[in-house]
Amino acid sequence: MIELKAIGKHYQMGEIKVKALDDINLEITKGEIVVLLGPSGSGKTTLLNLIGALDSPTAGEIDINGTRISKYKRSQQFKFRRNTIAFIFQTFNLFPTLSAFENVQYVAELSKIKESKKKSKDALEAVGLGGRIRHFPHQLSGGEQQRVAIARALVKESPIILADEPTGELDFKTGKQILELLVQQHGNGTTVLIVTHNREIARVSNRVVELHSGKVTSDGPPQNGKVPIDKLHW
Amino acid sequence: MIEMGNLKLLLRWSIRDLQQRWIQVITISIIIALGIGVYTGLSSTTPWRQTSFEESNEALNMFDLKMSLLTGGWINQTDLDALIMNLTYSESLKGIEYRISIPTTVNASTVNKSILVNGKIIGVDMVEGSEAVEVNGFAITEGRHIQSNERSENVCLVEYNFAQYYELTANNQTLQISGGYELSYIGTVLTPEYFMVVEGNLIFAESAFCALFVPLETAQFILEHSIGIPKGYINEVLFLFDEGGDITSFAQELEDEIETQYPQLSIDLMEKDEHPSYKLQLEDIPGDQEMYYIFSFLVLLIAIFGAYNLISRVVNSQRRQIGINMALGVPPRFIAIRYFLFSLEISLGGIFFGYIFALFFGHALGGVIKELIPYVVWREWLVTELFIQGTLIGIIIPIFASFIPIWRAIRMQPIDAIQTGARIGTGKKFSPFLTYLRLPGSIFLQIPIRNLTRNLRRTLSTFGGIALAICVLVGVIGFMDGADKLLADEEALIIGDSENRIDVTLNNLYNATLYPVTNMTNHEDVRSAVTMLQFPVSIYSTGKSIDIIMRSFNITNEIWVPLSASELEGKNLYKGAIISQEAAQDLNVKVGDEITLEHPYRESAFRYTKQNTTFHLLAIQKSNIRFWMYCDLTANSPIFNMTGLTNSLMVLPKAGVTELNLKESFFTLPGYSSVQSVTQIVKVYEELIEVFRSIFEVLQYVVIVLAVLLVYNTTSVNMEERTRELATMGAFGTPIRITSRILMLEAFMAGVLGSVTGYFLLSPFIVTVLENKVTEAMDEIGLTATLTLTSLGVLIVIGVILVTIIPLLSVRKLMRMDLPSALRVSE
Repeated sequence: MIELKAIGKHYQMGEIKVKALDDINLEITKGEIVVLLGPSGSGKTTLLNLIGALDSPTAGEIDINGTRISKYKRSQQFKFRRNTIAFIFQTFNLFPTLSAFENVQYVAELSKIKESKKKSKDALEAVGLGGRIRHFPHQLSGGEQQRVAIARALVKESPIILADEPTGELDFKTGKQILELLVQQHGNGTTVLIVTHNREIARVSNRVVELHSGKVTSDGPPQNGKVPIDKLHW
Repeated sequence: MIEMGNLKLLLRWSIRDLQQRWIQVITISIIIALGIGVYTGLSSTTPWRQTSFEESNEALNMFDLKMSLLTGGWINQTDLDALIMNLTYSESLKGIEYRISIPTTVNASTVNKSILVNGKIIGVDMVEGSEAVEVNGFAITEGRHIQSNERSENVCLVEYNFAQYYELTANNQTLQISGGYELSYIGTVLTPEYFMVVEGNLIFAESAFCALFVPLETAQFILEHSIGIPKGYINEVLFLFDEGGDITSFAQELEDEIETQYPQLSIDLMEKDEHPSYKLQLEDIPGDQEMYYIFSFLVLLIAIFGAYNLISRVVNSQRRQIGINMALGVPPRFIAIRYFLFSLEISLGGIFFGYIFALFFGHALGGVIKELIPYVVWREWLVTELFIQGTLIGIIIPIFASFIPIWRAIRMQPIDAIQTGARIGTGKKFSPFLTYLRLPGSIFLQIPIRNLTRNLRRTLSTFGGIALAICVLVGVIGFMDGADKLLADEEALIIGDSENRIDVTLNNLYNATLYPVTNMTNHEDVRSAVTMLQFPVSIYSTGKSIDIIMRSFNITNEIWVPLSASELEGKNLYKGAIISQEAAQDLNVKVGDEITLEHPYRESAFRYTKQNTTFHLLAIQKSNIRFWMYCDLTANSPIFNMTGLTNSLMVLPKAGVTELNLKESFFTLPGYSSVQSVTQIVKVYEELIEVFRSIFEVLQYVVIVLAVLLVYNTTSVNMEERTRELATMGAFGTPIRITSRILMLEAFMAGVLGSVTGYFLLSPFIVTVLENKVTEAMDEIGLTATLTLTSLGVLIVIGVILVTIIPLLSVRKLMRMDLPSALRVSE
């Protein structure tokens, strides 16, 4: 369970105080798939970063599975992320000098997963990259790189996956494959939060939280209803 | 063509680049500055020294020609003056000084310190006071000159270097000399012959040698009362010539005339350039400059590596910006100019700091030289041409260092430059095999090695910097250790089984079985004594020659022998010589080979000539100092026509009798000249080597600073370049300690590889170069670089441990990293 209570995040830019998030209240249940939708600058990535303990709120509380992470010290945040959160980034953020397998293995070993090598290989096979495990990021296509990033998120079996514009750098077809993989994880009981500015992509979920200028403007099913991934068009 | 407005924009932009990376910029500037500083600073001392040397000798009228009578020879001053004035070439004489030079022992002990050393009394004509001495004049540094009315008083001027060494001041202290005479110390004096004290084969001999300048009449009085030479006799003349005077013809004429009028006397004529001290000072200047060139070259090379490495990283880390510029259609030259301006700004910093370092190094080394060779005139100025060269170096290094990375960056397709993440710095072009290199162990071990192999060129430049630093340190520390080892080995060899052995020098040749020799050999403080003949000789072989001190004594005696009896068994001692391995190496001879000995031959009591005799090499002593030659006295004394005579003793004092005790006991004995420990020679070389040591030590610290700056900057740019990777690691919860460990492991690997490369591949080269230079500067010793375990440990600490811990300086930066922003950073 993710609970956000009156969350605010302010930045001081010179003399101007920028309100990135203002009075956000949300509850996300375990195993739910939620899309955070909004235009650029709406605060959706900031919100994702706060849930992932990459940042701390300037106001309000965040509780995850009953633990107040908003008050965490930096070292606690590291531990929390290591044990609870898996990130997927728009620009993949793979380690360029490690092979696909090693990128996954890195996270597995970091999280002290038993049989890390086998599980890393399994994760890559699960995302359809069993034949390319020795390839380095520069030898993979964008879609393949994002699948490595998903395998990296899967291998640690974290209860929460946070995906920031996971299809942003990908073509339509590859993007759909990636969404398919994320939805599968939700099916396995993992809580998945997807950040996107694309209203069509938001239709993968039953619950879309829309943000505008740092405020939640709507929270519910997508405007045009949920559709299966193969029916999506953007 | 770039318009002025654009240029201003580029300038502003490059200044902002500079502000953004000011720590790195200052570090690169300091790296370059150290190179400029070492080159300009050290090299500046060469013209300073040359000018000071010339002006000092000119100011005090260093002689052009010196005539000395060989040991025991004396000549009447009035007669000699008449002879000289009748010479055809005497018209070009500008000044003459008639002098007396007699060896002595000086007791300059103070309340706190016992100072008993070998010395020389130099009687100089002071009819008009010591101020008016025409040739080899005196500059008083402390106290006062001898006045004309003191010309027969027991007053003396003490040579400056000796006084400095023992911190003596001219306060009318009474100095005692051999025979019990007392002189009042009224002034400390600098004179050209002793700007650098060279006595016998010893350089910087001020700790063991004291020159006392007294009025000629005082010296003659001492002479008359000690060995019975009547007043009016001298044994040394100094000549000063007019500009363009024909010194060679004068010398020839003088020699011929002495030969005719005084056939019983032998003279030695020495031109200024042959005077050991003058010659050494003159030859040392270009020799030392070569050494400075080598040092500067090495430091500059490290600076080039450092600057190239860092500037290329800075440019590379801005690759995306370059790509965006290219995508916007900005001409490549326009982009290049921004980075060249950036390099130029770094070079300005380099020149600024370089100027400060140059002043510092120059002044520091100048101080060392000034202390070693206290010229009466010392000039220090900004050597414009060197500073211009330094400035050019300061500009060329960063421009050169930035050329390749800029060229590579603007040659790239914009889309490749703009791409982020996985495509940056994969090293796919240069290290395809290394990319797959995998070490046994966890994934955390793979990251550092992959980071090292991701861009081989860049990694090699880091290795190169560390390797160069290590190789210079191996050379420098190796020589300091080598010097310590050499001195320790020599001391052990000289001491042998006879630790308390002492050398006693007599003031003349005496019958070995009669008084005054027996007075010393049978002295109550002496347990046993061996009589010796000792004089300088030259050895020739295969076209090479060396000057050496010959010691002839019973080489199977019970006090000390250069080689054991078994080593000499069955060998023919007649015309048999034992020399050191250093001498044998220099002469390219081996045991059994023939050598020619140019030695004194005693024609009569006051006449000695030089003769050549062929000796065979009996044995080679394991010594790396080319100082002594040994031969058996009984077998060989007839060769010198000195059978039964002796001029020195090897003495073993009774238990509890020290060197000082013996000096005190012998001081007043007739015939006695000096007492010194057999290891005195080692102490002298220790001081000589000290000169190199002081320069080597400075160089050592410069190189360490360079290495630290280089690695610090590399780490800092690495972190900047890998911000996103580090942030990703943070996003997945990698603890700071693991990230730091990865960075440290990478630095450790660079340190190990760089150190190994520097030690095994580069250092043999630098050691050879330095060995050649040291051999040129001190050819009488065989100094080789040796590293002790402690020094090896120091090198490991610098090359590996220091390099490994430097990334810890970046921990704070890691801890404060703004992860959300860093994750979006694309350059």
